[in-house]
Amino acid sequence: MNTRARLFASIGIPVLLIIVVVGAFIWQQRAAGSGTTGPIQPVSGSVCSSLKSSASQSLTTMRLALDWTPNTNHTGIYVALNQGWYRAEGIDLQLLPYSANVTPDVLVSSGKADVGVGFTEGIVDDAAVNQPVVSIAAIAQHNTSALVTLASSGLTRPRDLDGKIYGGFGAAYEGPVVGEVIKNDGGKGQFKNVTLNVDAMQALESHRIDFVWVYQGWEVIQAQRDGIKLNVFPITSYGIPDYYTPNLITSPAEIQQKPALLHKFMTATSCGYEYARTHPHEAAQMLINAAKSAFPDPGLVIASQAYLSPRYVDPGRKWGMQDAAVWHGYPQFIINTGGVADASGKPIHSLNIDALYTNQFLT
Amino acid sequence: MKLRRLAAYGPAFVLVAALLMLWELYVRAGQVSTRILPTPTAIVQALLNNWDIISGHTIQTLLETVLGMAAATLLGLLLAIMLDISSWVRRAIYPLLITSQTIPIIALAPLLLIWMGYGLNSKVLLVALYCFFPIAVACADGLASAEPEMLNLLKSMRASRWQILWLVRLPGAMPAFFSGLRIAVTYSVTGAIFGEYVGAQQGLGLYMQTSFNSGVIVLVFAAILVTAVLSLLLFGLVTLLERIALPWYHAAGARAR
Repeated sequence: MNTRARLFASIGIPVLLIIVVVGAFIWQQRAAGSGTTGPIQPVSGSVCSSLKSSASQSLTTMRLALDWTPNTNHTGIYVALNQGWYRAEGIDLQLLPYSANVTPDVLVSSGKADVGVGFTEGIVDDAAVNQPVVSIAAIAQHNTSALVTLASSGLTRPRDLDGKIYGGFGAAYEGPVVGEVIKNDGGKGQFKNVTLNVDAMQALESHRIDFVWVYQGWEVIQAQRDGIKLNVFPITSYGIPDYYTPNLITSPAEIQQKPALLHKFMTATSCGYEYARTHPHEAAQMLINAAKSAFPDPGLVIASQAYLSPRYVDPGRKWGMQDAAVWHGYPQFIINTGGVADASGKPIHSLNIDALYTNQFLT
Repeated sequence: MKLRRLAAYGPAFVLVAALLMLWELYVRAGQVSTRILPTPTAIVQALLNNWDIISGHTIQTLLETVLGMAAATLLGLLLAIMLDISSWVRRAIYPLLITSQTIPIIALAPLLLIWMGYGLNSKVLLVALYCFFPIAVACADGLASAEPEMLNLLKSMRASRWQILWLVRLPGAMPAFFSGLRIAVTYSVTGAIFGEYVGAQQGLGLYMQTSFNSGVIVLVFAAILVTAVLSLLLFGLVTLLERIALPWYHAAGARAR
C-alpha cells in the first residue's frame, strides 16, 4: 500500500463505520416504527369505544414524563395509547422515560414536559421551593406505601425499628414520615437514615440495611413471587394521613396556556384508567405489550394490576377526582412536622394547599 | 508470526478463564444469592435470550459512541493544531482545556438533559466532552515534539507554516495522536452509557437502569458484557487503523522489542 492509499484507508474505515452504524440505526428505527403502528384491537364495553380517530385531523404533540420504569401506576396511560384514544383527542403523546437525575417535577416546571407522573409528597416540596406544579388527577386514591423488614430479621412491629438503619431514596419527607410511623407504634422515632442509589429490596436482601419504604402493589408482590418473607407496615395504618399517590401533574403555566389540550388529555387518560379499573387482566396485558423490556416477569404485572385496579378509585367515584379534605391531611401533617423546607433550607409553616390541585380538567 | 502473536494473549486468556471459573463456582456454591450476583453462564444465557431487545439498545449506544468519537477526534485535532499555531493561543486555550476537565460531568449531565432534551444530541455531546481531551493533549504534545533538524531543513527550503505542519509536524504527531485516541475510545462507550443513564428513550444505559429497577440483575450484567465487547472492538479498530496509518512506526516498534 502506498502512502495515499493508507491515508484514505485510515480515514475511510472510520467513516464507513459511522455510515454502517447510522444505517443500522435508521433501519432499526423503521422496523420499530412499523411494529408500533400495528392494527388496534378496540376493546368493547367501554364508554370510550366511541372515541374514534378521524384520520385527517392534525395532532398536537404532548410530552409526558414518567416517574419510574413503566409499572402498573401507568397502566391507564398505556391503555389509552394502545387504544388510540389520545389520537382520537388530537394528541400525539410522547412518553419521556424515567431519569434518575431529573424528576418529572423538574421537567414539567421547566417546560420540557407538558405533564408528568408525580407524588403528593413531591408536589408539596416543589411548592415550598417555589417550583410549583399542580396535581390534575389522583392516579390512585389511596397510598399503598409501606415500611418493610425481612421476616427473618425479627423486627415485627414499627417500634422495633428504633435505632435501626433505614435505606431511603433521599427525599426530605421520608424522615418525618418514618419517625411518625415508629412513634405511633410506641417507639421513639429515632433511626439511621442512609440514602441508597440502589434498589431498596436488593439492599434489604443483602442485609446492609434493616428496613425500606416500598409499595405494596409492586415490591411486596414481587417479594411474594420471589419467595421472600416480609413484615409489612402500611404507613396509613400507623397514623400517617392517607393521600393520593401517584398523581398526574402539570405546571401552572401549562394550565394557563393550554387548558383545552389538558382537558382533552384528561378525557383520554380517564378512559384508560376506567378501563384498567374494570379490566385488570386485559389492561395489564396492554402494558406488558407496550413496554416488553421492562417486564422480565409478566406475571408480576398481572398480579400487581389485580391488586391496584380496585385501588385506583373507590366504588361509586369518578377516577382522578381529588377532595379538599385529603389534600389538607397529609400536606398539613408534613408541614407541622417541620419536614418541608423552602429554597433556603428553612422549614416552612404554611402553604396555600388549595393551589396544589385542581379537578377542572376532569369534568 | 501469527501464532506467536496469538500466544502473546495466552496469559490474559488464562487469567480471565480462571477468574470466570472462580466466579461461577463461588456463586454456585451458594455464597451469594444468584439474584444479586448471577453466574457468568447465566449472564451469557440471558444475553442470548434477550438479544432481540438488547440489540436495539446496542445500536443506539453504538451510534452515540461513534458520532461522539468522530466529533471528539475532529475537535481534539483542531484544538491541538490551534495550540501549536502560536504560543499566545496556547497560553490562552490550555488553561481552559484543563479547567474543562475539572467540571464533574455527573453534575453537568442532568443540566445537559434539560438544555438539550432526551434525544441523540445530549449523548453525542457527552461522549465528545469525555473523549476530546486525551486526543487534544496527546496530539498537541506530538506536534510540539517534531524534530528540530527536520523543521530547520524545511525552513531552509522556504516551506510555509502549513507545509511544515502537513509534511513534518502532523505525520510526526500521529503516534501520539493514536495513543490519545486509544485512551479516548476506551472511555467512549462508557460516556454514552452514562448519558443514557441520566435520561434516554433507548440505549444500553437505559436498559441497565430498567433491568435494575425491575430487579433483574442478570440483564444488567448482560448489558455490561455488551458494553465491554463494544469497547474492546472499538479499541481493536483504533489499533488496526494505527497499523494501517503508521506502518513505519509499527515496524520500528516491533524491531525495538
